[in-house]
Amino acid sequence: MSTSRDALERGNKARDLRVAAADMLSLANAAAITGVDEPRLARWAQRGRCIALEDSGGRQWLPKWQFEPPLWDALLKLAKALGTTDGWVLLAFLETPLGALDGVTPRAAIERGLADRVVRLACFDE
Amino acid sequence: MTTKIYLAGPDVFFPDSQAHFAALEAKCRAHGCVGIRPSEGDMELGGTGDEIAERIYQANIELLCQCDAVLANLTPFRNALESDSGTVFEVGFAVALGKPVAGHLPQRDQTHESKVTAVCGITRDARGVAWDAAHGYLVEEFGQPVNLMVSRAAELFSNVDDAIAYLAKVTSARQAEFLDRGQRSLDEAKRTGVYVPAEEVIARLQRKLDDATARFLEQRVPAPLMAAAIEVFGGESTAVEWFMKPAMGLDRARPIDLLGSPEGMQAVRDFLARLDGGVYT
Repeated sequence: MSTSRDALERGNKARDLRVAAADMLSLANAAAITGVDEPRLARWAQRGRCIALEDSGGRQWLPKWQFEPPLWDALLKLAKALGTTDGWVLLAFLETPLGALDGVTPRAAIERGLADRVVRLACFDE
Repeated sequence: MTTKIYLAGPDVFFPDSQAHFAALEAKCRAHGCVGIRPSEGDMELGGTGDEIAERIYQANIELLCQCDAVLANLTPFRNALESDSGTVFEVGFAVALGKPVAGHLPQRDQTHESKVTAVCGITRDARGVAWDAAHGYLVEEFGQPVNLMVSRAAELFSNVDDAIAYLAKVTSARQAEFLDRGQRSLDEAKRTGVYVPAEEVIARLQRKLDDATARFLEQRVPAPLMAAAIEVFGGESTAVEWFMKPAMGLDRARPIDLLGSPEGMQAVRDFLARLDGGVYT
């Protein structure tokens, strides 16, 4: 019988697998690439200005693609629309295909210049 | 408009350099121009050799930019053949800025090859090509008084007075041409009734400059770094200005020029973080 502990472990494993992907940057690498110091990136993550994901060991990881202009320009609006600054919630929204976007993910839609539409959809996301 | 002439040359190394420059300045005044001495580096400020050298370099670059023309003493210095390397650099820099350059050297009428012959000797191979006998290097026989990259860049004279007179004449002609162009525009405006006030022209140029700067920054500055700079400086225009101006805390480099390398990016990042903490140097 599956316990809540098992569920948590499965969740942790899935998260660790996701942050091990090639599109993730450590906080130090994100600072090196963006030219923004680590404390500021951490502060930004706390207020939804950027996405930072915590792994099971407490380390922070940042999706590299969020720093490109189309995503970067939309992120803060998206966090406000979704009413969260939690990196995992923001990532899940961005990477889940939506029927309202003809089956593409919000991330792909934003990269195609549909940021406004994605933000409007996010306002109705539950 | 008084013509400012930068006085390039190894003259700063002469034992009587002060008197020498005073004489050059007097000659410039006699032609209605102002002679500008190279920087001596504000030695009283002290510093390491590198710091003093950098100060002199930056100051001379600024003076070259401000001047209308350059008078270059191309007399061979510390050797029998070649001009002072710093002077040659300044000649090239001024030419690249579109400023007229007049060089003076007593041996103006001797060809470079005749001087090489006198100093090194010349041998000729079977095809008649000349090689200097001391080092075995090719000798260009184009009849130029100095290396052709200098002789084609600058107008050369055998005495200082002629060189200054030339610069006075050329700069005066350029100023007259500038005024004439302005007058022609004014006449055209009167004739057609189409008159664009100077303020509007400046505003249009400023808009073009702002657009070009924004495009330039967009290509060079990562979006998050611009966002961080806007946070630190409290506005986009101040942040943009910061990227484009030399910063004391970055050894007078412009932040924008450092972003091409990981080390430079780190220097900018650390400096911005220090500024955010209220540390300005």
